[in-house]
Amino acid sequence: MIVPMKKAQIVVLKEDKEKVLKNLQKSAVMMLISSEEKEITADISFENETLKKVEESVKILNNYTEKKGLVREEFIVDYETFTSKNPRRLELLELTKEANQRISDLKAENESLKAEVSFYLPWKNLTIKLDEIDSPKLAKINLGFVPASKVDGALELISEYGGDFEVLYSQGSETAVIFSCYIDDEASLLKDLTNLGFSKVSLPKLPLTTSEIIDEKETKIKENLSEIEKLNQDLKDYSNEIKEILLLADKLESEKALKTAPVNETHSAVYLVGWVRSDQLDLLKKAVAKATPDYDLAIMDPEEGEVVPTALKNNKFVSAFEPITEMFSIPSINDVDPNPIMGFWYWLIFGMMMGDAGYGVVLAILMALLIKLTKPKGTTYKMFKMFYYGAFATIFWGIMFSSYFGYQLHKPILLNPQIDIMKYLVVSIIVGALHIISGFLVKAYGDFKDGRFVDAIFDNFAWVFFLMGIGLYFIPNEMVSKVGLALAITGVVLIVFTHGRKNKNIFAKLGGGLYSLYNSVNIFSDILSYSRILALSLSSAIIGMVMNTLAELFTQNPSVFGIIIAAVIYIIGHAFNLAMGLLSAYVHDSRLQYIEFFSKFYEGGGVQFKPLSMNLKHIDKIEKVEI
Amino acid sequence: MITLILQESTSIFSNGVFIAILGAGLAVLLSGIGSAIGVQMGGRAAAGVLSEKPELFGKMIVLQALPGTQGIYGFIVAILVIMKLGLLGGGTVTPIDAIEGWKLFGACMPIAIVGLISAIIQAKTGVSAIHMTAKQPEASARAITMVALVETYAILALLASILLVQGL
Repeated sequence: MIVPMKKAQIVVLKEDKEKVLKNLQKSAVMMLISSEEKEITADISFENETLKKVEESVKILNNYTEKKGLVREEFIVDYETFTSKNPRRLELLELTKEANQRISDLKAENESLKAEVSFYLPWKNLTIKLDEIDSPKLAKINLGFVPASKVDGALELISEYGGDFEVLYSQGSETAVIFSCYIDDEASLLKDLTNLGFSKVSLPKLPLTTSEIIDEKETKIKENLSEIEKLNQDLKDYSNEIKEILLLADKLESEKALKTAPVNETHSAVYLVGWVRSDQLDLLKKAVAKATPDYDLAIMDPEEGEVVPTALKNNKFVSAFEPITEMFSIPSINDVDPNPIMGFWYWLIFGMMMGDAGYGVVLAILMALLIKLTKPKGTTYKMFKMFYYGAFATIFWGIMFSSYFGYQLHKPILLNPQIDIMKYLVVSIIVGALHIISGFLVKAYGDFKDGRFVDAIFDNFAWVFFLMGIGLYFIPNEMVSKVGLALAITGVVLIVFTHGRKNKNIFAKLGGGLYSLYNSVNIFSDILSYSRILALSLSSAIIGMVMNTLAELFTQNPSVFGIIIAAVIYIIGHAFNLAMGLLSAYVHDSRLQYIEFFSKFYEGGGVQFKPLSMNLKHIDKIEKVEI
Repeated sequence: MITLILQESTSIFSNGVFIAILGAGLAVLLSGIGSAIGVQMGGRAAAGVLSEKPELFGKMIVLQALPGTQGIYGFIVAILVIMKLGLLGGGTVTPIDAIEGWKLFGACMPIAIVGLISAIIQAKTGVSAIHMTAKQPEASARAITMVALVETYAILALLASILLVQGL
């Protein structure tokens, strides 16, 4: 049901503002609205910046936390820890960021060191220090690469010039050589060699041998690697404290909510306006009174034309189906809450569409495990719960159809979808007609509640009589059939003579009535749309049966290999069928509610009631909150 | 020679089982082609969205999978025909005459043709819905409903095919 809303006005002294707001936030009972058109100009740059840092740190640390798969532990803290200013949290952000930065710096450094090592490697066999290479006065010493295929030619050439040479290193297509020649010959020799593909290399003049340089670089690389190792270990240690960071994020969000709360201030007083659920007025009074003895609290009824937020109060079963309505549109305060009746129909039709007791059991176990292990919150939790309940409807209809993983274990109680197709079609149509009739009845209930008795009877009951009359007419019993006919005719008469009553002219009145009767075409097409229940149920049943037949082909002559293949077919085949069935049932059951059912009475377009609260994203529960 | 071919061909088209299998084959073939094209269209659009917003995977996969059902519907009708002919599970084939064969062939046509076309058209709506969901992830349920509306006609075709096959 939709909880009636009250408007609350609170006036407190300015010095009590923070305390009052905090108490309101802790008790989460009031949705503050700004009474004037005023931009909120609180400075939340610190919170936003820190939240950004938190996001980065969490991203980094998530690479270091041990993955536990789907399993999630519940995150519960007490209020004192939550509000305490633990400097370690901000410190962790910095430490994580620094360590991560250092790791990427070190990795970059190692990359360039490795490049240098590979630069010096061909010259490793030079046993002299690099700054001594050029020392002779009349000779020139050169280093460079020659293509491997040209080495012999190059060496011959050097000998012709009377030079000395040595092959230092050869790898792949390149050969590293060192040679000497007279200083006057150098230019022409180099020119000839270049024609052969020689490329000159000049090494920096360092007072070290190449192998010393390589050793030095490699030691550095090793040092860096061990530092990276150590930093990784540090980050792993920090990741054990990731909860502190997540807690900080939630704390910042809650502070942000406080700062941006719409508040009107004069020089000495603070004025708060907002919506309260009428069943939580005591909580509001308590929250304000505990903060300060000096307050003024006024509770008012909403005025005509005001946008009143919607809060729903339903039992466990019905609230699981609320997301379906919310995805369509949030109920407005003028609507009748569609969830109690919609939830029941959704549940029932979901079960028919799935229609297999085996799948129902699997789905129930799956959903129970998902809820237990992943501990979802909000809409996700409700959806899992919805499928969990739906699983029991699936079991129920599975027993009715005697379908257990596509096998028939006993005589079907209601019908066998694969054989009694016509019978199932009739059942689908009856379910559809009842669904639509219940939609008209909800509309009539809303009209009654708002005092529109004439509309309730003429607009809605006329259709109910008409539809029920036609239904009864087809029951093979003379008495019932006659009653049905009378009821249907009453419906038609009511429709034709009353539905045009808002028109002025007598002909327009009659015309309006006839036009309304013509709308019965739409209603019949709506009802026929429920034949999809049969179609989806049947396709699920047939695919299940096909999988079983396929698997049985391998078990006719029992062998280990055959049984393994059959098991694989059973498991994969039924998992596929269950997944496709779930998708179809979810989508088409929603569609039946949205298009066929909601069109009869539901308007929606409401605003969700979102009280000032802690805005918890990571923490599941804060304990010991004292107001 | 020509008379032989003619005789041969008349014997094929007077074989009811052959005609019925032709219909069952077309039901799987055409609706399968439609679904494959449809899922492919959705997949391409979804892949583009996921490259920027990987967190929308769950919603995208639903929108992509929706045009995939027509192929399944075609398969179901084919299975019903195969069961009718007694071909499933290696049983003996019940011979039927050409008229009966053509009847089954006709019964397969609704899902074969509507399956082919509706899957492709549904995928077009699906691509738009994927773009809409990319911009407004909270509107995904509405997007799914819009795409599911197109499927109604495939379901009606499936029902017609099932009722016809079953009724014959």
